[in-house]
Amino acid sequence: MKVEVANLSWGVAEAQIVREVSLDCPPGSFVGLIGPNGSGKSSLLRCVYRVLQPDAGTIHLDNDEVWGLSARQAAQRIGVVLQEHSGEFDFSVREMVFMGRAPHKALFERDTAVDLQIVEAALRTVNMLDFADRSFLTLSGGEKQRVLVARALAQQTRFLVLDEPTNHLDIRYQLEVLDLVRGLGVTTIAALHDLNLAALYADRLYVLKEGALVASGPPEEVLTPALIERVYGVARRGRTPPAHRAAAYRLSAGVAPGASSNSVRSMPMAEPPLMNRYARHIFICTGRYCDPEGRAPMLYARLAQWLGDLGRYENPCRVKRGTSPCLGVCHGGPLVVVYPEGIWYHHVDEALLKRIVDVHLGEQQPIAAHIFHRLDEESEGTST
Amino acid sequence: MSQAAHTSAVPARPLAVTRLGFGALLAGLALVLLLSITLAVMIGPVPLAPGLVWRVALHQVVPGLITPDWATFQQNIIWEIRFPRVLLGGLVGGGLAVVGATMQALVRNPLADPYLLGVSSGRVARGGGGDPARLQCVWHLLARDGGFSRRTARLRRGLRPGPAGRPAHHRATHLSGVAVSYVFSALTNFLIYNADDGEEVKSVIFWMLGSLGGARWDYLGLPALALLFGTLYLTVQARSLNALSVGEETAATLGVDTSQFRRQTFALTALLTGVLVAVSGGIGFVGLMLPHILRLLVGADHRRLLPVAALAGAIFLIWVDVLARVVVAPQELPIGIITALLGARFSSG
Repeated sequence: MKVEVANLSWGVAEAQIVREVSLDCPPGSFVGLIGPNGSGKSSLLRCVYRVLQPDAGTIHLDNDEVWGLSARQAAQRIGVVLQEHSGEFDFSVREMVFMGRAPHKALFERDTAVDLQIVEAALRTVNMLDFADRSFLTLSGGEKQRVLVARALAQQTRFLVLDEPTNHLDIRYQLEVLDLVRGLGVTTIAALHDLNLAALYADRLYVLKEGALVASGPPEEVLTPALIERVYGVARRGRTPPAHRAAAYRLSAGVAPGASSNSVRSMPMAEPPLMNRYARHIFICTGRYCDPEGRAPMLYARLAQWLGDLGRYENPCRVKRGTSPCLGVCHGGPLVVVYPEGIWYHHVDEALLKRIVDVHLGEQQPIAAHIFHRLDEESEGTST
Repeated sequence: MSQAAHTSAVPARPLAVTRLGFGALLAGLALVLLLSITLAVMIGPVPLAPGLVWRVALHQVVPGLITPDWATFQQNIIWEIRFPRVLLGGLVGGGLAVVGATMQALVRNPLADPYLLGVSSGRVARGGGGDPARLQCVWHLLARDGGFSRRTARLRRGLRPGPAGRPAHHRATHLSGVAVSYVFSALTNFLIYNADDGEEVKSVIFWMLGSLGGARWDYLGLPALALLFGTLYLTVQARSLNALSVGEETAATLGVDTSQFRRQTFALTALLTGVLVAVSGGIGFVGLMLPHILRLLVGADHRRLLPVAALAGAIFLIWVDVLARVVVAPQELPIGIITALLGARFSSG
């Protein structure tokens, strides 16, 4: 479904919240909406999913203007995953997902076996089928969020709107939920706080500030340090956290980096059994931001040796030497990114991996910068 | 991933989630209701046999089928006094439970009750002063002389879309309901304060506490119709109620025209409550706690909750009324006192 937003404005009496925003989402595209808190992302999305009536401008789904549709017709075309999961009423997980079938049901129509199949397939997709009889209110934040994604899937729409869909999710489910949505191949608009995720998943990013569009385009063009500083008002931070730097030294010296660290994201690379189970891609990110001390070749050799020992390592492909990324591939699990200051694993496909590499090869390194930013924040909370 | 760790803490799911189980539950409740009606008619100062109860009823419904072999006074007690009262209890109980469940979903607050909109206080203020023609008061409530129309105007203010096209928030409705309640309880207090004699005071207080004492056959028609169509309508709309009870915005994204739906449903529940209050006064607890308890039994899905609430509410109030009649017999307690005590017991225990 093609989605077009043209010159959309919305405001309350005293303030203009969204100012003449235009978005263009080709069929099947994943469009990311980023911007600081209060920049109008949610209001814009509310207009798109027909909860707020815009003061000016139009929203077209293919050829239908959203406000020309009834609430029910709109709900048959737009699936929405919200941040809110309030309510004090104790629905079961299955009942929650069944609500996604409501837009397709006539007043007197009962739920059919087909509906049940759709609901269970949606639950299976988000890995929550085992929870179908659980009470929704007893779930953790991440589980709730996945159920809400399943509800939107059960609506079977060709267009999804996600408002901060990865809030409450840990890194694994952030990536899984977004992988899942991307894998559906439906047109998607997602408001995202996490710039790394925005960079990884969006085909196109729109950047909002104070309700107006300040930039748009492919992530690698949009996410420049200058823009981040202009929009978010923060300078890039490239400090290497001491704990991770120590791990990197140990890694380069052939010492198990994860041995003494129980940090979540620093996967125990030096333990071959885990490696065997999870690793599919090994990606050593280097360059000015990631590897100021030029240790990548050493890391790479070390990895090759481990993986070779495991007999799972094939097609080593050293993309570039020296200050550029190095890459090796082995099969069977998520992407493992090795940074000098620690190891992070991502569940991504090869196309995504290629994009990361491309970005770095082009010496445009916003992703690395943001990951650093994130590592900084997290290490302040977790490392000792 | 290992989900085994999570599933260890699975709480027991409500009964009757399957279609079969739910059908059995409804049938069982209907049976209990029938039994309760019979027993409630039998119990009283003059004990009566169950066979007699139904023979008299049958004789009244289809005259000539059975040759009367009972005394006229028995027939009068059964048909003119006890049956209307028991049936009225059932209608009011079922109605209050249904309205309570609906109201809780509409304002997304499990502590809402049917009187949230101020309808009962309005009724008491109007009914006070010993107005004997109760049904007429329903029409007062509906339109006649401004009581209801003023109230609906107040409600409309709460329901009307807010500035800049923002959807009206249920809090506004809730607040207008509370405000209306205060206005009318002030009026009621004024009536009590200004009453000429003790009888008039008693009459006002009687209405405030609620009672099924004055039941007559001709009071039953309107509540029965209102309950039947109200429950049917709400059960048909149960998907929308479900969505709305999860969240305003969620409901909108699931295809519910929230402001229109809420407007219609508030109007319907206000009407239902008005009809019920007009025949029984403001009986507390039933509409507040019963839906709450039933959710534990059948879950929050209104397609199941509403029919069960109608039946269980009826059974509950029939028995409470039996209590009201026998506890201090031959005197009678206002039924609201007993429901309030039960409510307090349940909430604290």
